[in-house]
Amino acid sequence: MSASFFHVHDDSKILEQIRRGDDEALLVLYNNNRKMIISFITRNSGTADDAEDLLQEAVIVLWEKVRSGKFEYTAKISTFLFAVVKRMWFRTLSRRKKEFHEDSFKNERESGELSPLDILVESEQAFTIASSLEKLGEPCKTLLLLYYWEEKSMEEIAAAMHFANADTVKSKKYQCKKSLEKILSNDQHLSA
Amino acid sequence: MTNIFPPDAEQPEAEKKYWTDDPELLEQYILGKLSPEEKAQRDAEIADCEPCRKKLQQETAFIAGIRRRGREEMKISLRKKLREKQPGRMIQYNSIALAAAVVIIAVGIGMYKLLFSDIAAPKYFGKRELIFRQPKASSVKPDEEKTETVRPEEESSATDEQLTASEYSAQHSSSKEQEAQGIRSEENILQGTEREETTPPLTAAGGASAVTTKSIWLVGNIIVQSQNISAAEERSSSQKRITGEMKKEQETVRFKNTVEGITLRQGSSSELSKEQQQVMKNESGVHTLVEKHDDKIIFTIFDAPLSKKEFQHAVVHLAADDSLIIDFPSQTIAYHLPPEWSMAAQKTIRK
Repeated sequence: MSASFFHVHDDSKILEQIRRGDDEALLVLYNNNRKMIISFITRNSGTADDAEDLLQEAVIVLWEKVRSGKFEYTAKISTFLFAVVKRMWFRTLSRRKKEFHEDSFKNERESGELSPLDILVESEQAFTIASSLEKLGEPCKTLLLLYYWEEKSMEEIAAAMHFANADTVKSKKYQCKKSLEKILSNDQHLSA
Repeated sequence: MTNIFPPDAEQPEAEKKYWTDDPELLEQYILGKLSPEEKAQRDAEIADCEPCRKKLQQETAFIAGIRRRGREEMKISLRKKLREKQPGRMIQYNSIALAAAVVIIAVGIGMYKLLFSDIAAPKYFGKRELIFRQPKASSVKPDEEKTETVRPEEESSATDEQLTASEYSAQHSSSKEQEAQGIRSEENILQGTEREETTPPLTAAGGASAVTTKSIWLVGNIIVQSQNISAAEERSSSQKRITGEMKKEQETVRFKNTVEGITLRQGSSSELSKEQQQVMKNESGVHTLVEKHDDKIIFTIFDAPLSKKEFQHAVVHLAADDSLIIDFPSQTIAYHLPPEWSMAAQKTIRK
Protein backbone atom coordinates (compact mmCIF):
# COMPACT_ATOMS: atom_id res chain seq x y z
CA MET A 1 0.00 0.00 0.00
CA SER A 2 1.43 3.38 -0.92
CA ALA A 3 2.00 6.04 1.66
CA SER A 4 -0.53 8.29 -0.01
CA PHE A 5 -3.15 5.66 0.60
CA PHE A 6 -2.96 6.42 4.29
CA HIS A 7 -3.39 10.11 3.70
CA VAL A 8 -6.60 11.32 5.24
CA HIS A 9 -8.85 12.44 2.45
CA ASP A 10 -11.54 14.92 3.24
CA ASP A 11 -15.15 14.37 2.32
CA SER A 12 -15.30 16.82 -0.54
CA LYS A 13 -12.33 15.18 -2.24
CA ILE A 14 -13.86 11.75 -1.77
CA LEU A 15 -17.18 12.85 -3.23
CA GLU A 16 -15.45 14.43 -6.20
CA GLN A 17 -13.48 11.22 -6.78
CA ILE A 18 -16.68 9.16 -6.74
CA ARG A 19 -18.41 11.54 -9.12
CA ARG A 20 -15.47 11.12 -11.51
CA GLY A 21 -15.87 7.34 -11.25
CA ASP A 22 -12.55 6.89 -9.44
CA ASP A 23 -13.13 3.83 -7.28
CA GLU A 24 -9.90 4.48 -5.38
CA ALA A 25 -12.20 6.59 -3.19
CA LEU A 26 -13.85 3.41 -1.97
CA LEU A 27 -10.53 2.09 -0.69
CA VAL A 28 -9.90 5.30 1.18
CA LEU A 29 -13.39 5.23 2.70
CA TYR A 30 -12.98 1.58 3.61
CA ASN A 31 -9.67 2.13 5.36
CA ASN A 32 -10.73 5.33 7.11
CA ASN A 33 -13.84 3.72 8.59
CA ARG A 34 -12.80 0.11 9.08
CA LYS A 35 -11.71 0.48 12.68
CA MET A 36 -14.88 2.28 13.74
CA ILE A 37 -17.17 -0.24 12.03
CA ILE A 38 -15.33 -3.28 13.37
CA SER A 39 -15.54 -1.79 16.83
CA PHE A 40 -19.29 -1.27 16.50
CA ILE A 41 -20.12 -4.65 14.95
CA THR A 42 -17.98 -6.67 17.32
CA ARG A 43 -19.66 -4.94 20.25
CA ASN A 44 -23.02 -5.95 18.78
CA SER A 45 -22.78 -9.72 18.36
CA GLY A 46 -20.86 -9.63 15.10
CA THR A 47 -17.40 -10.55 13.91
CA ALA A 48 -14.69 -8.55 12.19
CA ASP A 49 -15.59 -10.39 8.97
CA ASP A 50 -19.22 -9.29 9.31
CA ALA A 51 -18.00 -5.73 9.81
CA GLU A 52 -15.73 -5.77 6.77
CA ASP A 53 -18.48 -7.22 4.60
CA LEU A 54 -21.00 -4.62 5.76
CA LEU A 55 -18.56 -1.77 5.28
CA GLN A 56 -17.91 -2.90 1.73
CA GLU A 57 -21.67 -2.90 1.12
CA ALA A 58 -22.02 0.51 2.72
CA VAL A 59 -19.33 2.19 0.65
CA ILE A 60 -20.98 0.76 -2.46
CA VAL A 61 -24.35 2.14 -1.33
CA LEU A 62 -22.65 5.52 -0.96
CA TRP A 63 -21.10 5.11 -4.40
CA GLU A 64 -24.55 4.41 -5.89
CA LYS A 65 -26.11 7.39 -4.19
CA VAL A 66 -23.38 9.81 -5.20
CA ARG A 67 -23.23 8.58 -8.78
CA SER A 68 -26.99 8.83 -9.18
CA GLY A 69 -27.01 12.33 -7.66
CA LYS A 70 -29.13 11.24 -4.72
CA PHE A 71 -26.53 11.80 -2.03
CA GLU A 72 -27.08 14.95 -0.03
CA TYR A 73 -24.04 16.06 1.89
CA THR A 74 -25.65 16.91 5.19
CA ALA A 75 -23.39 14.96 7.50
CA LYS A 76 -19.90 13.55 7.43
CA ILE A 77 -19.50 10.60 5.08
CA SER A 78 -18.33 8.51 8.01
CA THR A 79 -21.56 9.29 9.83
CA PHE A 80 -23.55 8.22 6.78
CA LEU A 81 -21.58 4.98 6.48
CA PHE A 82 -22.03 4.28 10.17
CA ALA A 83 -25.80 4.75 9.85
CA VAL A 84 -26.00 2.47 6.79
CA VAL A 85 -23.89 -0.25 8.41
CA LYS A 86 -25.90 -0.09 11.60
CA ARG A 87 -29.21 -0.43 9.74
CA MET A 88 -27.91 -3.29 7.62
CA TRP A 89 -26.53 -5.06 10.65
CA PHE A 90 -29.73 -4.78 12.63
CA ARG A 91 -31.60 -6.12 9.62
CA THR A 92 -29.16 -9.02 9.45
CA LEU A 93 -29.61 -9.74 13.14
CA SER A 94 -33.35 -9.50 12.66
CA ARG A 95 -33.23 -12.02 9.79
CA ARG A 96 -31.16 -14.41 11.89
CA LYS A 97 -33.62 -14.02 14.73
CA LYS A 98 -36.48 -14.63 12.32
CA GLU A 99 -35.51 -18.27 12.18
CA PHE A 100 -36.74 -18.44 15.74
CA HIS A 101 -39.27 -15.64 15.89
CA GLU A 102 -41.64 -14.86 13.06
CA ASP A 103 -42.37 -11.39 14.39
CA SER A 104 -39.77 -9.47 12.51
CA PHE A 105 -42.18 -7.19 10.70
CA LYS A 106 -41.42 -4.28 12.97
CA ASN A 107 -37.75 -4.46 12.22
CA GLU A 108 -38.42 -4.63 8.51
CA ARG A 109 -40.35 -1.41 8.85
CA GLU A 110 -37.51 0.17 10.72
CA SER A 111 -35.13 -0.29 7.86
CA GLY A 112 -34.43 3.43 7.70
CA GLU A 113 -32.56 4.70 4.70
CA LEU A 114 -33.02 1.45 2.82
CA SER A 115 -35.70 1.98 0.20
CA PRO A 116 -37.99 -0.87 -0.91
CA LEU A 117 -35.58 -1.31 -3.81
CA ASP A 118 -32.58 -1.54 -1.47
CA ILE A 119 -34.38 -4.12 0.64
CA LEU A 120 -35.23 -6.23 -2.38
CA VAL A 121 -31.61 -6.14 -3.53
CA GLU A 122 -30.85 -8.41 -0.60
CA SER A 123 -33.65 -10.84 -1.43
CA GLU A 124 -33.42 -14.34 -2.83
CA GLN A 125 -35.38 -13.23 -5.88
CA ALA A 126 -32.77 -10.57 -6.63
CA PHE A 127 -30.06 -13.19 -6.34
CA THR A 128 -31.81 -15.29 -9.00
CA ILE A 129 -32.16 -12.33 -11.34
CA ALA A 130 -28.53 -11.29 -10.72
CA SER A 131 -27.38 -14.79 -11.66
CA SER A 132 -29.50 -14.78 -14.80
CA LEU A 133 -28.00 -11.47 -15.86
CA GLU A 134 -24.67 -13.23 -16.18
CA LYS A 135 -26.20 -15.58 -18.78
CA LEU A 136 -27.46 -12.65 -20.81
CA GLY A 137 -24.02 -11.78 -22.16
CA GLU A 138 -22.83 -8.58 -23.76
CA PRO A 139 -23.77 -5.90 -24.63
CA CYS A 140 -27.06 -6.48 -22.79
CA LYS A 141 -25.50 -7.02 -19.39
CA THR A 142 -23.52 -3.79 -19.48
CA LEU A 143 -26.44 -1.86 -20.93
CA LEU A 144 -28.83 -2.97 -18.20
CA LEU A 145 -26.24 -2.34 -15.49
CA LEU A 146 -25.55 1.15 -16.80
CA TYR A 147 -29.23 1.98 -16.94
CA TYR A 148 -30.62 0.35 -13.81
CA TRP A 149 -27.63 0.34 -11.48
CA GLU A 150 -25.52 3.31 -12.48
CA GLU A 151 -28.71 5.12 -13.53
CA LYS A 152 -27.12 6.58 -16.64
CA SER A 153 -29.31 8.34 -19.17
CA MET A 154 -29.96 6.88 -22.60
CA GLU A 155 -27.70 9.57 -24.07
CA GLU A 156 -24.85 8.73 -21.71
CA ILE A 157 -25.19 5.03 -22.50
CA ALA A 158 -25.21 5.74 -26.22
CA ALA A 159 -21.96 7.65 -25.86
CA ALA A 160 -20.33 5.08 -23.55
CA MET A 161 -21.34 2.03 -25.58
CA HIS A 162 -21.04 3.60 -29.03
CA PHE A 163 -24.70 3.30 -29.99
CA ALA A 164 -26.01 5.58 -32.70
CA ASN A 165 -28.32 7.54 -30.42
CA ALA A 166 -30.60 7.39 -27.37
CA ASP A 167 -33.46 5.81 -29.34
CA THR A 168 -31.22 2.93 -30.35
CA VAL A 169 -30.32 2.40 -26.71
CA LYS A 170 -33.99 2.47 -25.72
CA SER A 171 -34.85 -0.14 -28.29
CA LYS A 172 -31.88 -2.31 -27.35
CA LYS A 173 -32.71 -2.02 -23.68
CA TYR A 174 -36.22 -3.30 -24.38
CA GLN A 175 -34.82 -6.30 -26.27
CA CYS A 176 -32.31 -7.03 -23.50
CA LYS A 177 -34.99 -6.88 -20.86
CA LYS A 178 -37.17 -9.29 -22.78
CA SER A 179 -34.22 -11.66 -23.23
CA LEU A 180 -33.56 -11.58 -19.51
CA GLU A 181 -37.21 -12.28 -18.77
CA LYS A 182 -36.99 -15.27 -21.10
CA ILE A 183 -33.89 -16.61 -19.35
CA LEU A 184 -35.61 -16.20 -16.00
CA SER A 185 -38.69 -17.96 -17.27
CA ASN A 186 -36.62 -20.88 -18.58
CA ASP A 187 -34.69 -21.12 -15.32
CA GLN A 188 -37.93 -21.23 -13.38
CA HIS A 189 -39.26 -24.03 -15.61
CA LEU A 190 -36.06 -26.00 -15.09
CA SER A 191 -36.12 -25.61 -11.34
CA ALA A 192 -39.85 -26.37 -11.08
CA MET B 1 -58.41 3.16 -11.10
CA THR B 2 -58.60 4.40 -14.65
CA ASN B 3 -55.37 6.24 -15.10
CA ILE B 4 -54.56 5.78 -18.78
CA PHE B 5 -51.27 6.87 -20.21
CA PRO B 6 -50.30 7.50 -23.81
CA PRO B 7 -49.13 4.41 -25.60
CA ASP B 8 -45.49 3.77 -26.44
CA ALA B 9 -43.95 1.57 -29.08
CA GLU B 10 -43.57 -1.32 -26.68
CA GLN B 11 -47.13 -1.98 -25.70
CA PRO B 12 -50.41 -1.75 -27.61
CA GLU B 13 -52.73 1.00 -26.47
CA ALA B 14 -55.50 -1.42 -25.64
CA GLU B 15 -53.34 -3.07 -23.00
CA LYS B 16 -52.62 0.17 -21.16
CA LYS B 17 -55.00 0.71 -18.34
CA TYR B 18 -52.87 1.84 -15.44
CA TRP B 19 -49.94 4.17 -14.99
CA THR B 20 -47.80 1.17 -14.13
CA ASP B 21 -48.26 0.05 -17.73
CA ASP B 22 -46.02 2.91 -18.75
CA PRO B 23 -42.55 1.32 -18.41
CA GLU B 24 -40.63 4.58 -18.27
CA LEU B 25 -42.85 6.07 -15.62
CA LEU B 26 -42.70 2.87 -13.63
CA GLU B 27 -38.89 2.85 -13.77
CA GLN B 28 -38.70 6.48 -12.73
CA TYR B 29 -40.96 5.71 -9.78
CA ILE B 30 -38.86 2.75 -8.66
CA LEU B 31 -35.55 4.55 -9.13
CA GLY B 32 -36.82 7.50 -7.12
CA LYS B 33 -36.68 9.96 -9.98
CA LEU B 34 -40.18 11.40 -9.66
CA SER B 35 -40.84 14.69 -7.93
CA PRO B 36 -42.25 14.37 -4.39
CA GLU B 37 -45.63 15.60 -5.62
CA GLU B 38 -45.79 13.13 -8.47
CA LYS B 39 -44.60 10.31 -6.25
CA ALA B 40 -47.29 11.10 -3.69
CA GLN B 41 -49.89 11.02 -6.45
CA ARG B 42 -48.66 7.64 -7.68
CA ASP B 43 -48.58 6.29 -4.14
CA ALA B 44 -52.21 7.28 -3.69
CA GLU B 45 -53.15 5.59 -6.95
CA ILE B 46 -51.32 2.41 -6.04
CA ALA B 47 -53.25 2.15 -2.81
CA ASP B 48 -56.44 1.54 -4.80
CA CYS B 49 -54.99 -0.61 -7.54
CA GLU B 50 -54.10 -4.24 -7.00
CA PRO B 51 -52.77 -4.84 -10.56
CA CYS B 52 -50.57 -1.75 -10.17
CA ARG B 53 -49.06 -3.08 -6.96
CA LYS B 54 -48.38 -6.43 -8.58
CA LYS B 55 -46.72 -4.84 -11.58
CA LEU B 56 -44.73 -2.52 -9.34
CA GLN B 57 -43.54 -5.44 -7.24
CA GLN B 58 -42.44 -7.41 -10.32
CA GLU B 59 -40.57 -4.50 -11.84
CA THR B 60 -38.95 -3.55 -8.52
CA ALA B 61 -37.71 -7.11 -8.07
CA PHE B 62 -36.36 -7.09 -11.62
CA ILE B 63 -34.44 -3.87 -11.12
CA ALA B 64 -33.28 -5.00 -7.67
CA GLY B 65 -31.78 -8.11 -9.27
CA ILE B 66 -29.83 -6.06 -11.78
CA ARG B 67 -28.64 -3.69 -9.06
CA ARG B 68 -27.56 -6.64 -6.98
CA ARG B 69 -25.39 -7.85 -9.84
CA GLY B 70 -23.87 -4.37 -10.06
CA ARG B 71 -23.11 -4.34 -6.35
CA GLU B 72 -21.65 -7.84 -6.46
CA GLU B 73 -19.31 -6.94 -9.29
CA MET B 74 -18.19 -3.79 -7.53
CA LYS B 75 -17.68 -5.69 -4.31
CA ILE B 76 -15.49 -8.25 -6.08
CA SER B 77 -13.48 -5.44 -7.62
CA LEU B 78 -13.17 -3.68 -4.26
CA ARG B 79 -12.00 -6.84 -2.52
CA LYS B 80 -9.45 -7.48 -5.23
CA LYS B 81 -8.09 -3.96 -4.84
CA LEU B 82 -8.00 -4.29 -1.08
CA ARG B 83 -5.92 -7.45 -1.42
CA GLU B 84 -3.60 -5.77 -3.90
CA LYS B 85 -3.24 -2.62 -1.86
CA GLN B 86 -2.77 -4.23 1.50
CA PRO B 87 -0.02 -6.84 1.15
CA GLY B 88 1.55 -5.39 4.27
CA ARG B 89 -1.47 -6.05 6.39
CA MET B 90 -0.16 -9.42 7.53
CA ILE B 91 3.03 -7.74 8.71
CA GLN B 92 0.87 -5.16 10.39
CA TYR B 93 -1.20 -7.90 12.04
CA ASN B 94 1.97 -9.60 13.28
CA SER B 95 3.09 -6.35 14.88
CA ILE B 96 -0.33 -5.93 16.45
CA ALA B 97 -0.24 -9.49 17.73
CA LEU B 98 3.17 -8.89 19.29
CA ALA B 99 1.97 -5.66 20.89
CA ALA B 100 -1.18 -7.43 22.12
CA ALA B 101 0.91 -10.18 23.70
CA VAL B 102 3.01 -7.61 25.56
CA VAL B 103 -0.15 -5.83 26.75
CA ILE B 104 -1.74 -9.10 27.90
CA ILE B 105 1.34 -10.01 29.91
CA ALA B 106 1.48 -6.53 31.43
CA VAL B 107 -2.23 -6.62 32.27
CA GLY B 108 -1.82 -10.10 33.72
CA ILE B 109 0.94 -8.91 36.02
CA GLY B 110 -1.13 -5.88 36.95
CA MET B 111 -4.23 -7.96 37.68
CA TYR B 112 -2.17 -10.34 39.79
CA LYS B 113 -0.91 -7.44 41.86
CA LEU B 114 -4.39 -5.95 42.19
CA LEU B 115 -6.15 -9.15 43.15
CA PHE B 116 -3.56 -10.45 45.52
CA SER B 117 -2.40 -7.29 47.22
CA ASP B 118 -3.96 -5.64 50.26
CA ILE B 119 -4.66 -2.42 48.40
CA ALA B 120 -8.35 -1.78 47.63
CA ALA B 121 -8.39 -2.22 43.89
CA PRO B 122 -10.87 -1.98 41.01
CA LYS B 123 -12.47 -5.39 40.53
CA TYR B 124 -13.84 -5.12 37.01
CA PHE B 125 -14.27 -2.83 34.11
CA GLY B 126 -17.63 -1.11 34.11
CA LYS B 127 -19.92 0.26 31.45
CA ARG B 128 -19.16 2.89 28.88
CA GLU B 129 -20.36 6.27 29.93
CA LEU B 130 -20.54 9.74 28.58
CA ILE B 131 -18.38 12.54 29.69
CA PHE B 132 -18.61 16.19 28.81
CA ARG B 133 -15.37 18.01 28.38
CA GLN B 134 -15.65 21.43 29.86
CA PRO B 135 -15.22 24.40 27.55
CA LYS B 136 -11.90 26.14 27.73
CA ALA B 137 -13.50 29.56 27.35
CA SER B 138 -12.46 32.26 29.79
CA SER B 139 -15.95 32.34 31.25
CA VAL B 140 -15.38 28.96 32.77
CA LYS B 141 -14.06 28.87 36.27
CA PRO B 142 -10.51 27.48 36.50
CA ASP B 143 -11.58 24.66 38.79
CA GLU B 144 -14.08 23.51 36.17
CA GLU B 145 -11.60 23.27 33.33
CA LYS B 146 -10.68 19.72 34.02
CA THR B 147 -12.67 16.91 32.53
CA GLU B 148 -15.90 16.40 34.37
CA THR B 149 -17.50 13.02 34.32
CA VAL B 150 -21.10 12.10 34.78
CA ARG B 151 -20.14 10.46 38.00
CA PRO B 152 -17.55 12.37 39.98
CA GLU B 153 -15.96 9.25 41.47
CA GLU B 154 -14.98 8.12 38.00
CA GLU B 155 -12.64 11.04 37.46
CA SER B 156 -9.67 8.86 38.23
CA SER B 157 -10.27 6.82 35.10
CA ALA B 158 -10.05 9.77 32.74
CA THR B 159 -6.94 8.33 31.15
CA ASP B 160 -8.99 5.47 29.78
CA GLU B 161 -11.07 7.86 27.79
CA GLN B 162 -8.64 8.15 24.93
CA LEU B 163 -8.57 4.40 24.49
CA THR B 164 -12.20 4.32 23.47
CA ALA B 165 -12.19 7.63 21.73
CA SER B 166 -9.35 6.48 19.53
CA GLU B 167 -11.64 3.93 17.94
CA TYR B 168 -13.13 6.83 16.10
CA SER B 169 -9.99 8.80 15.48
CA ALA B 170 -9.99 8.28 11.73
CA GLN B 171 -13.05 10.35 11.02
CA HIS B 172 -12.19 12.85 13.73
CA SER B 173 -8.84 13.60 12.18
CA SER B 174 -10.54 13.91 8.81
CA SER B 175 -12.80 16.58 10.20
CA LYS B 176 -9.90 18.48 11.67
CA GLU B 177 -8.09 18.50 8.40
CA GLN B 178 -11.18 19.82 6.64
CA GLU B 179 -11.43 22.64 9.09
CA ALA B 180 -7.78 23.45 8.67
CA GLN B 181 -8.27 23.70 4.93
CA GLY B 182 -11.26 25.97 5.33
CA ILE B 183 -13.58 23.50 3.65
CA ARG B 184 -17.25 23.47 4.63
CA SER B 185 -17.42 21.85 7.99
CA GLU B 186 -20.23 20.49 10.15
CA GLU B 187 -20.42 23.80 11.96
CA ASN B 188 -22.60 24.94 9.06
CA ILE B 189 -25.25 22.46 9.95
CA LEU B 190 -24.72 21.77 13.58
CA GLN B 191 -24.19 24.54 16.00
CA GLY B 192 -24.17 24.79 19.68
CA THR B 193 -24.33 27.58 22.20
CA GLU B 194 -23.72 26.90 25.81
CA ARG B 195 -24.85 28.33 29.05
CA GLU B 196 -24.69 27.47 32.69
CA GLU B 197 -27.75 27.91 34.81
CA THR B 198 -28.70 27.22 38.35
CA THR B 199 -32.18 26.11 37.36
CA PRO B 200 -33.33 24.14 34.39
CA PRO B 201 -34.16 26.53 31.57
CA LEU B 202 -37.37 24.84 30.60
CA THR B 203 -40.78 24.49 32.04
CA ALA B 204 -40.76 21.34 29.96
CA ALA B 205 -38.31 19.92 32.41
CA GLY B 206 -41.27 19.32 34.63
CA GLY B 207 -40.84 19.95 38.32
CA ALA B 208 -37.72 22.01 37.97
CA SER B 209 -35.44 21.49 40.87
CA ALA B 210 -32.72 23.92 41.89
CA VAL B 211 -29.72 21.93 40.77
CA THR B 212 -26.78 23.11 38.76
CA THR B 213 -27.37 22.40 35.13
CA LYS B 214 -25.08 22.91 32.22
CA SER B 215 -26.88 23.22 28.95
CA ILE B 216 -26.14 23.56 25.30
CA TRP B 217 -28.30 24.12 22.24
CA LEU B 218 -27.60 21.85 19.34
CA VAL B 219 -29.09 21.78 15.90
CA GLY B 220 -29.27 18.20 14.72
CA ASN B 221 -29.60 17.05 11.21
CA ILE B 222 -31.87 14.34 9.87
CA ILE B 223 -29.42 12.20 7.93
CA VAL B 224 -31.69 9.26 7.26
CA GLN B 225 -35.41 9.19 6.80
CA SER B 226 -37.51 6.12 6.26
CA GLN B 227 -39.17 5.86 2.87
CA ASN B 228 -41.70 3.49 4.25
CA ILE B 229 -45.22 4.76 3.67
CA SER B 230 -46.52 3.54 7.01
CA ALA B 231 -43.69 5.25 8.83
CA ALA B 232 -44.39 8.41 6.90
CA GLU B 233 -48.02 8.23 7.91
CA GLU B 234 -46.98 7.74 11.50
CA ARG B 235 -44.76 10.81 11.27
CA SER B 236 -47.59 12.80 9.78
CA SER B 237 -50.01 11.88 12.53
CA SER B 238 -47.43 12.52 15.23
CA GLN B 239 -46.79 15.94 13.72
CA LYS B 240 -50.46 16.71 14.15
CA ARG B 241 -50.31 15.60 17.74
CA ILE B 242 -47.38 17.86 18.46
CA THR B 243 -48.89 20.94 16.91
CA GLY B 244 -52.31 20.20 18.37
CA GLU B 245 -52.01 19.25 21.98
CA MET B 246 -48.41 19.15 23.05
CA LYS B 247 -47.75 16.54 25.64
CA LYS B 248 -44.43 16.20 27.34
CA GLU B 249 -43.28 12.75 26.55
CA GLN B 250 -40.27 11.43 28.29
CA GLU B 251 -38.69 8.09 27.75
CA THR B 252 -35.44 6.73 28.94
CA VAL B 253 -33.57 5.49 25.96
CA ARG B 254 -32.33 1.98 25.61
CA PHE B 255 -28.81 1.53 24.48
CA LYS B 256 -26.91 -1.10 22.61
CA ASN B 257 -23.48 -1.32 24.15
CA THR B 258 -22.99 2.34 23.71
CA VAL B 259 -23.80 4.87 26.37
CA GLU B 260 -25.98 5.19 29.39
CA GLY B 261 -27.43 8.03 31.33
CA ILE B 262 -29.23 9.87 28.54
CA THR B 263 -32.90 10.70 28.69
CA LEU B 264 -34.78 11.81 25.62
CA ARG B 265 -37.91 13.85 25.63
CA GLN B 266 -39.99 16.03 23.40
CA GLY B 267 -40.42 19.73 23.86
CA SER B 268 -42.55 22.40 22.25
CA SER B 269 -41.07 25.68 21.08
CA SER B 270 -44.11 27.44 22.55
CA GLU B 271 -42.55 26.88 25.96
CA LEU B 272 -39.40 28.76 25.01
CA SER B 273 -38.52 32.43 25.07
CA LYS B 274 -39.41 34.52 22.03
CA GLU B 275 -35.72 35.03 21.39
CA GLN B 276 -35.09 31.29 21.23
CA GLN B 277 -38.19 30.77 19.09
CA GLN B 278 -36.79 33.32 16.64
CA VAL B 279 -33.46 31.47 16.54
CA MET B 280 -35.33 28.28 15.74
CA LYS B 281 -37.31 29.97 12.98
CA ASN B 282 -34.15 31.30 11.40
CA GLU B 283 -32.31 28.04 11.35
CA SER B 284 -33.64 24.79 10.01
CA GLY B 285 -32.79 21.55 11.72
CA VAL B 286 -33.74 19.63 14.80
CA HIS B 287 -33.29 22.08 17.67
CA THR B 288 -32.30 20.23 20.76
CA LEU B 289 -31.42 21.37 24.24
CA VAL B 290 -28.87 19.19 25.97
CA GLU B 291 -28.78 19.51 29.74
CA LYS B 292 -26.26 17.87 31.98
CA HIS B 293 -27.51 17.07 35.41
CA ASP B 294 -25.59 15.39 38.17
CA ASP B 295 -26.69 11.91 37.24
CA LYS B 296 -27.98 12.15 33.70
CA ILE B 297 -28.01 14.02 30.45
CA ILE B 298 -31.33 15.14 29.01
CA PHE B 299 -31.90 15.71 25.32
CA THR B 300 -35.05 17.77 24.75
CA ILE B 301 -35.92 17.64 21.07
CA PHE B 302 -38.16 20.54 20.07
CA ASP B 303 -41.05 20.29 17.66
CA ALA B 304 -39.83 16.96 16.37
CA PRO B 305 -42.36 15.09 14.22
CA LEU B 306 -41.95 12.00 16.33
CA SER B 307 -44.47 9.99 18.26
CA LYS B 308 -44.14 8.66 21.79
CA LYS B 309 -43.75 5.20 20.31
CA GLU B 310 -40.78 6.36 18.31
CA PHE B 311 -39.17 7.80 21.45
CA GLN B 312 -39.66 4.43 23.12
CA HIS B 313 -37.71 2.78 20.33
CA ALA B 314 -34.96 5.36 20.11
CA VAL B 315 -31.38 4.24 20.34
CA VAL B 316 -28.41 6.49 20.94
CA HIS B 317 -25.03 5.76 19.44
CA LEU B 318 -21.73 7.49 19.64
CA ALA B 319 -20.57 7.76 16.05
CA ALA B 320 -17.38 9.50 17.00
CA ASP B 321 -16.02 11.41 19.95
CA ASP B 322 -17.66 14.53 18.58
CA SER B 323 -20.71 12.95 16.94
CA LEU B 324 -23.83 11.41 18.33
CA ILE B 325 -26.63 9.69 16.48
CA ILE B 326 -30.13 9.32 17.81
CA ASP B 327 -31.85 6.64 15.89
CA PHE B 328 -35.65 6.70 15.73
CA PRO B 329 -37.64 4.11 13.79
CA SER B 330 -38.52 6.61 11.08
CA GLN B 331 -35.41 8.77 11.04
CA THR B 332 -31.89 9.19 12.26
CA ILE B 333 -30.74 12.48 13.70
CA ALA B 334 -27.04 13.29 13.85
CA TYR B 335 -25.49 15.77 16.22
CA HIS B 336 -21.99 17.09 16.17
CA LEU B 337 -20.81 18.74 19.32
CA PRO B 338 -18.61 21.82 19.17
CA PRO B 339 -14.98 20.96 19.96
CA GLU B 340 -15.07 22.40 23.44
CA TRP B 341 -18.10 20.31 24.25
CA SER B 342 -16.95 17.10 22.69
CA MET B 343 -18.28 13.91 24.13
CA ALA B 344 -16.43 10.69 24.53
CA ALA B 345 -17.20 7.23 25.61
CA GLN B 346 -14.98 5.99 28.31
CA LYS B 347 -14.43 2.79 30.14
CA THR B 348 -14.75 3.31 33.83
CA ILE B 349 -13.41 1.33 36.70
CA ARG B 350 -15.82 0.59 39.48
CA LYS B 351 -14.79 -0.29 42.97
